[in-house]
Amino acid sequence: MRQTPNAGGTRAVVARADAAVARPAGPETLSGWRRRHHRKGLLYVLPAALLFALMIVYPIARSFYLSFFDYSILEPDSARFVGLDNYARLLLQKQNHDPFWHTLYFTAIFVPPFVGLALLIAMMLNRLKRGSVALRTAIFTPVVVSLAVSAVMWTLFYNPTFGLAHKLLAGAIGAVNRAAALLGAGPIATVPDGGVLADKGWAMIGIAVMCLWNGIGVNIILFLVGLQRIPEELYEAAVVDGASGWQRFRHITLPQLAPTIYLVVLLSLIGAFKLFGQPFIMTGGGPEDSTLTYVMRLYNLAFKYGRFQLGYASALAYALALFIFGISLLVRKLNRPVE
Amino acid sequence: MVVERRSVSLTLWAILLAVALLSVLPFAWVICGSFKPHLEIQRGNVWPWQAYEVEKPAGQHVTLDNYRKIADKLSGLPTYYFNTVYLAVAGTFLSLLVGSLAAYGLAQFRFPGNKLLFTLLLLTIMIPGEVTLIGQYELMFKLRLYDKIAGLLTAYVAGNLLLVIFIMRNVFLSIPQDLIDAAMIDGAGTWRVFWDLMVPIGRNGLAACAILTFLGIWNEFLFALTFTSTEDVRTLPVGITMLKGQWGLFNSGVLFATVLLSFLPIVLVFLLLQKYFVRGLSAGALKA
Repeated sequence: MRQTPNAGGTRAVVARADAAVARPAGPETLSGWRRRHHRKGLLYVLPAALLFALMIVYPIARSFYLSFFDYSILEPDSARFVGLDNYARLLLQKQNHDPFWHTLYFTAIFVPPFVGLALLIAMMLNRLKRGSVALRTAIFTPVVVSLAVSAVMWTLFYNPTFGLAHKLLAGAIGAVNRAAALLGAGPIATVPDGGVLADKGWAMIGIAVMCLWNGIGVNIILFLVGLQRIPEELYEAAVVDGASGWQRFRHITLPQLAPTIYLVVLLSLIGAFKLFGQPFIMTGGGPEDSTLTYVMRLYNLAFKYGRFQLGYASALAYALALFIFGISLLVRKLNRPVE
Repeated sequence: MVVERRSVSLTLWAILLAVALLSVLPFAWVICGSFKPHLEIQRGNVWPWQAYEVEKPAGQHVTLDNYRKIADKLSGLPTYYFNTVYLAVAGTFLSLLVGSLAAYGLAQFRFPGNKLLFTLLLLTIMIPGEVTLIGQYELMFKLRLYDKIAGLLTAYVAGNLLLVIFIMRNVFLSIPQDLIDAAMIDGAGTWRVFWDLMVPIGRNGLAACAILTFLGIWNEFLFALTFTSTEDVRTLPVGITMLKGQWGLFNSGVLFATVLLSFLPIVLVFLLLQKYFVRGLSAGALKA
């Protein structure tokens, strides 16, 4: 480590000599100086450590403790130790299954385009030699809009009477159906008359499209940073060897980008699994609970259903933590062969 | 150099232009809608060129009424705005101060428990915010901070510490030890070394942290929703969901204007500081 007394090398020796000249009162050496001062480090860390202990470590420990209790904040005195009951209940209770599957469904329709499209757009931006700054800025802009503002914005966008997205969707469905009619088939899809967000089949898709618009910029930035780190010589050598575009992508871009891909996939999966604010604002979990996600179920149990079941909700939170931990291990394992 | 054919690069440009247009289309649409009266919007006439369906005197089709209603405090928007700006500015300042001091302590001093503390910090990364949320909720009542701006501020500063500590610890570790030694030999105390040496050298890292923290607090939803219940302490993300219910049905124009005012400042700041934003976002995500 750099804190070894002689890390400064010759300059430190010279400096030490200077110090001896400047302060003849005591032979103050660097190592002595440091030894006296190391304890001061604690002082610098103290405010952060105290705040962290109080606001992060204690709540985490407290949630863990509570997850073994039947505990409601309304009746703190009637807390009852129930062992692993909360965990058993969260696995068995039917009301938890649907939110879990909804979340998984959202992850399945959201993450592939969220990662794939981002990579595609980043590669195109990276290949563009001129005029990319304006395009880049336009594509990144939605990232700074908060999820809540974005959700309200898209609620307007999906409005069945005046929403632009609704009109575009209706137009697209109409075109698809006309094309199908030309081929002699019946209508393939129907326009959700009450709007995308009021339709059981469309609501989650609508939310996913909104999340895509709102968040894809972050992934594009990450991929761009990764792409710019790949040495240009690799591609030049490949071109000399007569490698096709696909081969260059498969054998240079993908392996070189593996760490970034790993990171982006992981962050996207975790983000998708924590989906809460967008459905909370746009649909409230409806229609017919079709957009009720896992974290929303957790929120409802803890803060909405009137009983404030913090113990049970804590168990759900820890199960989520475990699930996310499992996913990160899985992604890490799957990432290996690419490297 | 891999030479691009002209047609290929034109195709690329066209595709990216389409993506860029799709990205900004919702903004343009909301801006247009915010100048329309409710009745026009309800007829589906949001764009300025579709203004002539409802028979009304000229000039009634484009209006500033929506903004006037907000300015007249018929909406809680000004309060939400103030709270959010206050939280984001104060929270960013405090997170940076407390976090970079701790990073300095962890990077430059070998005190007992240094390694242990850092490992503990590392471990908490794995814990999702939903776990912390429940414990903190109960704590807010115990500390009498529930439904108070101070409570949210404490939670935000604590929540952002980790990121600042990680980024700044790395920055401080990369500062050449000779510089620090020289300053110390010159008689500078550790406190002066921090302010005169670490802070100026680490300013890029600090800027990245500031952007990430500011954006994070500005956009935060779950904690603000859970730890507040009255109008006076609502933040913009929580407030706008209330306004959605309040204005959505009977005066959608005001909702358009509200959405516009909610994204405008942060989008403008982004356009001005674009370079730093991109750098900050990538630094943060790579550290996370």
